[in-house]
Amino acid sequence: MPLRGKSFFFTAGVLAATLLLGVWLHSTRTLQAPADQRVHLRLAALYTSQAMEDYQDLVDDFNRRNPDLLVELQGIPGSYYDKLLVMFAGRTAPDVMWMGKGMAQFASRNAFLDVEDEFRIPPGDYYESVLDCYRFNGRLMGFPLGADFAVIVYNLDLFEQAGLPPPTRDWTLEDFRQAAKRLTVREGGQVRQWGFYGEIDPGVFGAEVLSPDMSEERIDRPEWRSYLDFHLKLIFEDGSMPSRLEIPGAGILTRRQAFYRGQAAMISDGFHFQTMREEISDFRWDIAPVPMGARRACASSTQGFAVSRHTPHPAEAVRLLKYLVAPESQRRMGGVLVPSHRESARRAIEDMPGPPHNRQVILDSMETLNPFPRHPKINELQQALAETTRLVLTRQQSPEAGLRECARQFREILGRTHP
Amino acid sequence: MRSRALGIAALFLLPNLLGFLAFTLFPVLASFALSFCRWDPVAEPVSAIEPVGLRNYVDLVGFHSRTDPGGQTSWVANTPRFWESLYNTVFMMLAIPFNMAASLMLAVLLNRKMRGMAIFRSAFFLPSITAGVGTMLLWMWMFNKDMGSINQVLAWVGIQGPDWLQSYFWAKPALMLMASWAGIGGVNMILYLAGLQQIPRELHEAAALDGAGRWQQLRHVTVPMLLPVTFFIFIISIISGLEGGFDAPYVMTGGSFGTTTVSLYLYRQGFEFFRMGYASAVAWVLFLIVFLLTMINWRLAEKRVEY
Repeated sequence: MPLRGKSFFFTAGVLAATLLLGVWLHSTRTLQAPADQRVHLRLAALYTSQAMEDYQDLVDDFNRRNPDLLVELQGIPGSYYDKLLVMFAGRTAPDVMWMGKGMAQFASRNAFLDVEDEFRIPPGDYYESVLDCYRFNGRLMGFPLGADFAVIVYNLDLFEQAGLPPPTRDWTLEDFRQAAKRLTVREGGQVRQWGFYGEIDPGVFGAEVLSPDMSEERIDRPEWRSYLDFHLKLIFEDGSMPSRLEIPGAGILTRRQAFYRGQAAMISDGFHFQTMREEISDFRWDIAPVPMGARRACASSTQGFAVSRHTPHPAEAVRLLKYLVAPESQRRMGGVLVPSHRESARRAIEDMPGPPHNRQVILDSMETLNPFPRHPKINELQQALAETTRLVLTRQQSPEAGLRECARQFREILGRTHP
Repeated sequence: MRSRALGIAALFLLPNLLGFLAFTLFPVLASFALSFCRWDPVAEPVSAIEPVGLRNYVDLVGFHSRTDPGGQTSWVANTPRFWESLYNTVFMMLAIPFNMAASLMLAVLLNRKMRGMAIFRSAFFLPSITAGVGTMLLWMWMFNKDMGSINQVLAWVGIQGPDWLQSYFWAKPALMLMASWAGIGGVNMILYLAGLQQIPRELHEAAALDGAGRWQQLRHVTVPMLLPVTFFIFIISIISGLEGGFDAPYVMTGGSFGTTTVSLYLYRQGFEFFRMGYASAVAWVLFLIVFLLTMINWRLAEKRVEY
């Protein structure tokens, strides 16, 4: 039924009022801006409750020290890089952003400002392997705050119960395997306590993912075979490691939970000692280096910040970046990762309450980090490798077939130049 | 007068129309255009989108010949992963007929007049309105090899349950089982229930007078009368089966063990590997498959379904 007379004018009036309200709200926001002469910067970071508190403290401090700037911290939970991708596509990327494993993908696409000339780095002051994660074509495209890595966390009480001495700095893969066997306890045919739950980094077996120039795969090699064989032995021959691989969230008992409950005597884990201190009260624990194989290596990830190349305020954004990654800031973040600045790392580790008591392991591990190559297609390569590992270590594919297929996929990914 | 009424109608439709144009039609057209281009959203400004013709489509669905060391030539897919994900998707859609039959049975049971029926109806509808990820996490517990309730029940009857979510053989059936749990009592059941209540009672009474039992009434009266509803549910299930299947593999298996569906494959190509043009091509190939299947269904149903 058509609207007529009053109804029509009433409807038109409501629509017009809504429109005017929208215009007024928009204009008041726009009009407020000139009153605030400060340069506004947006800082994006992956949302985790503990890190966000630390970042917010840093931002508040920075805002106090820089009255001409106003930094707004934006915590992004969950799919952080998806959100950044959309922001870059829409040219609304934050001025400065947290960068972890996505550094390779974004930096290789020229997403960040080159900050090489902004930092004077005295030789030896920083861990080069951590800095390298933020370098592309020899230029710094961001700056690391610090690194996280996997070491062996062990239950000292269970070692003593099994009559084993604590692991030493020089223990080998064979020592490790024998210890895992001895620490495995069965009851009625069921494993009550696993010797080990986790993964030894492929680098320990001498395995490499790509050639140094990143143009060729290095997957279908004996070193990778050794890596897979070693884990297969732990799982199926010795029965000292759970057969289920840990997919985040997929199992009830993650390796950390198993360790907390005394159901795993050793796990490979990262820099989560603060949480461990809070969770573990009924047994003694410490850390040991990853056992020695063909070489020393430990899985690692880095955290840092980068400046968007689209920022309208590059100078101010670089000022913020410098503050966020300064040694003082790194020390303040020392509870969640190891600073990339050597002296800050040393002091953060010294100040850290125990356990772990064997803290030299942390500093030693920083010298043997083995990050995944910073290839532009890092996600595709990692996915292919993870798929192979899962299939082989659940005996749904032989190591030979798995590595052959993985190498084929690597060649396909590396060889694809278009699109 | 008529034009004035049209003008007012247009005025009311305008907000929705603007939203549709901006957030549906434009992205659809843009994705079609992008499917013929190379676009890395981080690396390049929008103006630097590079046209590549049919390259994305050839990469996606094309084949090439390969000669093995023995001199044998064979045709291999340019992107086996896409075909694998399509196979996974179609495999998981095999549950559709079972789900539909179960929904119908449930609707027939819930169509009776008895006390407390509303509670039963609500209870069966509940899975379809509970939070998806929450129920997935619960199912992950149930599917757990060592401590999951499913394997514990199987153990009572002497069966050693598999590692449901980490087995190439069992991961797909596990996801299908969970989807069936959510789907059987959901919207399909409600649609069947509504359809059942539209069937004139006289038809059943006439059939009963002619000596038809309950099964014969179901087979010769209820099912034919529900054909339009069945056809609608089937079409919708096919479409959602092909386009869906993202959240469960993403949350429960990470796409491992043969559970990567086309939609998860598409997402990875676009948002994890930054291949937006290629991902758009995947979306349009998927659309083409859905469109063709729907057309075939319409043709097949044309003579059988009466409205």
